[in-house]
Amino acid sequence: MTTFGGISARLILMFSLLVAICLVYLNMGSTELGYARVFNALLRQGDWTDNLIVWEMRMPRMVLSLLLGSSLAVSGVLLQGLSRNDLASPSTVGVNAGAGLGIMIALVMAPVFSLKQPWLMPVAAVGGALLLTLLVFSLAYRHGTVLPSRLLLVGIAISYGASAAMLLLSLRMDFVTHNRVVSWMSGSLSSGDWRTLLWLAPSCLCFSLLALSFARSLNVLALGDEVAANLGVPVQRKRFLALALATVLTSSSAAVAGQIGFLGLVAPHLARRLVGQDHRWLFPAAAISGAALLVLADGLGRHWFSPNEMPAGVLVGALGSLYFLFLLVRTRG
Amino acid sequence: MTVAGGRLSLTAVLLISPLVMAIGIGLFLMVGDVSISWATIGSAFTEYDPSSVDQVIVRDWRLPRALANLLVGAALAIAGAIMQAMTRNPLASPGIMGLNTGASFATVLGLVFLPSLGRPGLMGISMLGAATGAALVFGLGALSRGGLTPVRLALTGVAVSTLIGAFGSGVMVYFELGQDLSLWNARGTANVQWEDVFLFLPVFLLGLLGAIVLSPSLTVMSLGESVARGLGQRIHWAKFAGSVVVLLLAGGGVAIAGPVGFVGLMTPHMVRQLVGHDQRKVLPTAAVLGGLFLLLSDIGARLATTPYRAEVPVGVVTSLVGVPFFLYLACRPQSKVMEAGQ
Repeated sequence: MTTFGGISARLILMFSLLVAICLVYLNMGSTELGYARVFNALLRQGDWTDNLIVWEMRMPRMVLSLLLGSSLAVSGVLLQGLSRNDLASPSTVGVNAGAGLGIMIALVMAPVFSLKQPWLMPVAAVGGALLLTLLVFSLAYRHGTVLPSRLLLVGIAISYGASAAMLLLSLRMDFVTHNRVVSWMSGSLSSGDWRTLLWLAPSCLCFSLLALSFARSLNVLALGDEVAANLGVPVQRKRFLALALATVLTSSSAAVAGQIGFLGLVAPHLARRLVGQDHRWLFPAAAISGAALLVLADGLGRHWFSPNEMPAGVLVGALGSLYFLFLLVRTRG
Repeated sequence: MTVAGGRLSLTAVLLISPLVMAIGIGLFLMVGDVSISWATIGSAFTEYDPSSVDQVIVRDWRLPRALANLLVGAALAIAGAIMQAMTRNPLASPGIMGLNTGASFATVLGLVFLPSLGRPGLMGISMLGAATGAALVFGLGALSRGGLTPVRLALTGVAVSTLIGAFGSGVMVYFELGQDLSLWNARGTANVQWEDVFLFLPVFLLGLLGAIVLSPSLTVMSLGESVARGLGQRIHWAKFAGSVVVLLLAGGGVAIAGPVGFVGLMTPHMVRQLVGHDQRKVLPTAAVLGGLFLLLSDIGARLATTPYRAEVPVGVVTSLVGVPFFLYLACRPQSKVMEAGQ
């Protein structure tokens, strides 16, 4: 579609835009600092409160948004590539629902325990998501292949079931736990602190880099299963591994910030418009646009509704479903 | 899809159903936190004694709830059957076409901004919400280049539901309504009282009448739009009238019982297995089966208890039955759903 130089120029442009959004984000909030003070604080030259606000309050939350946005986008690219379906995303194939269910079970089984053990939530989320995604894929598996449209339908059905089960579990919670779960489910990034980032950042980066290694296989898979098999790609094995990777990426973010639906759907589409179909470019482009979208949504959610805040998941869900509708109305067939 | 004669005739259905419904209601009156004997139930109607707690439970708590289950289940099932006939999409149902979320979101808004609103007002708002959800889905489907195809309608429904759901959870978080509201949405028929039943009954009867009048056109429409046109049907008019009936039934039902899923999806499929595709038979049978399904689910819900709340929401029970059924629809070989999904 475009030359190498053209694409890398676009990527650089996108990245600069992301940096600009991040600076605006650091400036926004209940107290507006002004860019001069933000820069000073970034260099640790500001006064004590400015440093505190920028480094301890806004920065960890921003880094969290960057990480989650990019990993959701990468997992969306993986899912859309492996199922060859533009409508696939972590929320449509049951990954989000599984992560939610896993966390709910953990909270009901051991409410006190889970507060003291920071590793329990991610483990429960990843476990639940893996189980449910495996169920979705095995139900959609027929005659040696996974039919994309059946995958979507089964994913929707399983998500319905999971939400019923979650409702059932929520009845076993006391008021305080339940309120925490509700606000977690709506996708709030307010839990961002350096301690969470310490384990989240390396795992997100690792898995995202791993995803990049699937770029060539996904490019070939786009030509169809048979062509891919003839070209020597172990189709089902690659598909399974990509699925596992997408599940782990999504569910570890879900463990921290709950359900941020539709970001994994929108970011890959946005990236495809900017850099074309080649997965080698699609992964970085989607990661940048996903990160930018989430930082933007979180910033606006804090800015517009201050002193309260609207969870980023709600804003992303509203914008994302609008985009999805636009997609539906525009396309033919 | 052919207009095949089913195994059951309409007369058989009309003869059997009062009997089955009576048994269902009887069971519903008996079972619960307190088991009540047949004798007490009988005397609650013949020689009512307001000082007997059991008799009050039967007359003022269980009976209206049982009737509400029958009415709401019937309403949702008829609405689902009409939608499936009109769109020829096996997944069409109030839940999937944005009606349920629209209605419950509107009710949430009503509760937040107009807390003084009475039951009739809430029902009106709920119907408006259902209409808005449905209008969004239909309107966006009609706007799109390919026209109102079944696939597009269903996908648009999912997206509109997500959009409205996002707004709903936004409002919930913003006004810190947390548990109250999500449980209120999942309330089912638990707190139904006589005035709810009497409020919904005329709406239901109107919808039922409309459905029966429309049933011949619906049968023709379920053969496909070009066939229907060829047979001289005025498609647009029939679609409009059908949509109004669906709104009355589903909007009113959701106002009473909250968004109960899967009744409107499952029942019509089972009914078509029993009586074939003639809508004059499908709609009454769906009403009976839908009502019974919700009644039995609610018996199950009342028997299951949890530590913080006396009973499980009925929507959980219908989902536990409905999800495997949905999976069966999606996975059966040569499925119509699969063609629709591609």
